[in-house]
Amino acid sequence: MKNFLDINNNFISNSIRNKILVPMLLLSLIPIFIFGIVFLNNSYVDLEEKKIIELQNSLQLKNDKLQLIFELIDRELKLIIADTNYSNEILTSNNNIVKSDFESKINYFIDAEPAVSAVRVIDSFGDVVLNYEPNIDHDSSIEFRNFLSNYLQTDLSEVYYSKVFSDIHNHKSMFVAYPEHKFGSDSIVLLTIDLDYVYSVILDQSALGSTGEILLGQQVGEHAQFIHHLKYEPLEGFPDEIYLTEARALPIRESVQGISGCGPTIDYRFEPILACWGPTSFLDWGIVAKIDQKEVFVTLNFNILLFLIILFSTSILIVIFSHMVAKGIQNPILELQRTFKDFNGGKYDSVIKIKSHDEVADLTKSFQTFQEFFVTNNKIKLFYQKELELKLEELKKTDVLKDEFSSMVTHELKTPLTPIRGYCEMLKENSLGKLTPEQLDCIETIDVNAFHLEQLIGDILDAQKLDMGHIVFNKNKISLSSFITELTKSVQPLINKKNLQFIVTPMADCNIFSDEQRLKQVFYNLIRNSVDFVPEKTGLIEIGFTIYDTDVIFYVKDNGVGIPKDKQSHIFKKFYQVDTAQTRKHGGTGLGLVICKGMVEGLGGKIWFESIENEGTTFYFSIPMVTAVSVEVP
Amino acid sequence: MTELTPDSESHTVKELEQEKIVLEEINQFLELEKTQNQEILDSMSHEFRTPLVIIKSYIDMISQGKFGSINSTQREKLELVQTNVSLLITAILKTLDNLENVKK
Repeated sequence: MKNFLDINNNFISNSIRNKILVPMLLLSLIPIFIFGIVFLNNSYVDLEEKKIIELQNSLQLKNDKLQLIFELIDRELKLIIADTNYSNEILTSNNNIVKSDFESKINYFIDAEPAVSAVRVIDSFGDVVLNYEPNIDHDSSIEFRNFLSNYLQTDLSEVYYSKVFSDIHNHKSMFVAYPEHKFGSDSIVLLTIDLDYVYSVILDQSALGSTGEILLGQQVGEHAQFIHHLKYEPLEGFPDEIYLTEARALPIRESVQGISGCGPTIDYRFEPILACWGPTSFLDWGIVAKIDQKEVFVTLNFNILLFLIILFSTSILIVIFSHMVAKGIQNPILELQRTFKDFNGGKYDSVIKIKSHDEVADLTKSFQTFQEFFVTNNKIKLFYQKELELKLEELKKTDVLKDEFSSMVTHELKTPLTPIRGYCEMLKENSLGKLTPEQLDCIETIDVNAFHLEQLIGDILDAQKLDMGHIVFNKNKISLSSFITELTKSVQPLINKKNLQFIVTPMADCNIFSDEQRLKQVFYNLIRNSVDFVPEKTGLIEIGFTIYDTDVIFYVKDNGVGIPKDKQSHIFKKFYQVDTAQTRKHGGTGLGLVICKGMVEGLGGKIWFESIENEGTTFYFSIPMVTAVSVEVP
Repeated sequence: MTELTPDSESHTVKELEQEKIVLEEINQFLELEKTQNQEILDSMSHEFRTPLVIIKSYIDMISQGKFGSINSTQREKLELVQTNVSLLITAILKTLDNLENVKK
């Protein structure tokens, strides 16, 4: 049970089990159901047919018995009358003799035939001439009077059977009149038949079970009147008669109207019954044999129960079976799932034992292949990763070394340069003794080269710092007009040296928020660059700025040699120089533009240029007027 | 770089192959940078050497008196300059060597 619950909690097993369970249930229960219904229906029909045959037999039997009783009475009475030799005269003159002879015979007849309760001889005036009535006095009864008055109005030539009535003792009785002229013209012999007795004689109801009965009825006007209806004793509240039009009167109505039939219907109690009915063979009565459907189909209930038990037990068997089948499928899947979980959890080496040779086993094999592949790939990846890490470490080391190099350059390279330049200066000033012009020239060259080295070292340091992102920008409010004025002053020596024309395009003053020192360095580098490339005396350098959107665009324009088209894409590269020989002459370090680019980008701007060979170059660079940092810095 | 933990994400074979490609690209890029650095290093050593050679040869020439005689005070200063130039050359060579080692 625990296992069952566990599996219930598992989604996979449930769905697999249901996938097996539902079609199996459908496949097995539908035929069982159909078969059961057909079987039950057949047994219902069988039972019904069997019972109807029994009822018909019983009906026939009762009818025959009834006819037999009446025929017997008829025959015996006729024999007695025929045997008695008398006439009307005899009857009147010698009344006693005849009477006694007839009376003894009639008394014997009444004793021998319990169905006959009275015999009367009535003359044409309606007077009772002879009355053999051992037990009951019928003369006073309403029925007798009625009969007599009815009878006297008709001319009777054949045996007449009256309607059934209840006498004063509440016995069902009827009159049978025989026209007999021996007792005078139009005189009759009238028999009173005790129908309770007749009914008790024909009552043999072994075929009718405990709820079956035989009904006798006659039609009286609009009604069907029951003559006898109960097996053993009268029932309280039983209707003596019912309307013919009523639905419950169907069997009795058809029988009294002379129609035969049988089948399931309802009786006077509105109970469902099985019944056979038809007219009696010689009276105008109807006879009905019936039994309650409840009793007939009691065996059917057992069959239904059996059918339900089979249905239920089959369902349970199927549930158990499909659960077992599902378990068989699901266990390897669960194992595979566990392995997948292990795999996701980092256990790559869990192994599944393949027990079967089905699809799940194939899946497991595929997974194992994948697992192997993954492990191999992971190894390769780890290898590459280690390699990368090593390279990264190397790069970091290089960074550290670069840092070291920077400080080294500062200390070790700058230190000897200071005395070199100092002594050169001293020598040049002739304070140590007069120098020949050639010597002076030499010293000048040495000094220039030393200065160049100094610049180079400074530039390398700057470039290095930019590369490493070590440059710190100190942003402040700058007034552009005073900035340009100051710049002009500092570049004046360079301009004067080559006797160039320097133009500052006048502009309205403007405040920006940036690093003044670095901005100046950019400008200085660009101007120095231009100075290097413009011709002496005719050279022209123009600087200025315009405001574009939120940026200030500065420019440095010259009428120098320009940059050849094929070299334009390289000029921002380190140590790249357009013409090495010419550069030597100009003394650039090959780092100026690299530093400019780094600085401008560091300040949040861009640098670009336009150049036409032999006509001049214009460098532009944009600086944002207010950088985002400005909000925080007062 | 973070260590590769298998449960950090599910790795498929495709991802692994893609990562391999990325790694190879990074490797290529590093190689390229290395050669570029080498070029820069070469230019740098050239930039340093040219003025030094000029300085050194001119001082030597003056010291040897090729452009006229020099007095003892001047010679003294020139020798100081020479010493410093030698120091500078040694320092630069050392620096370049170091850089070259780093690149390797």
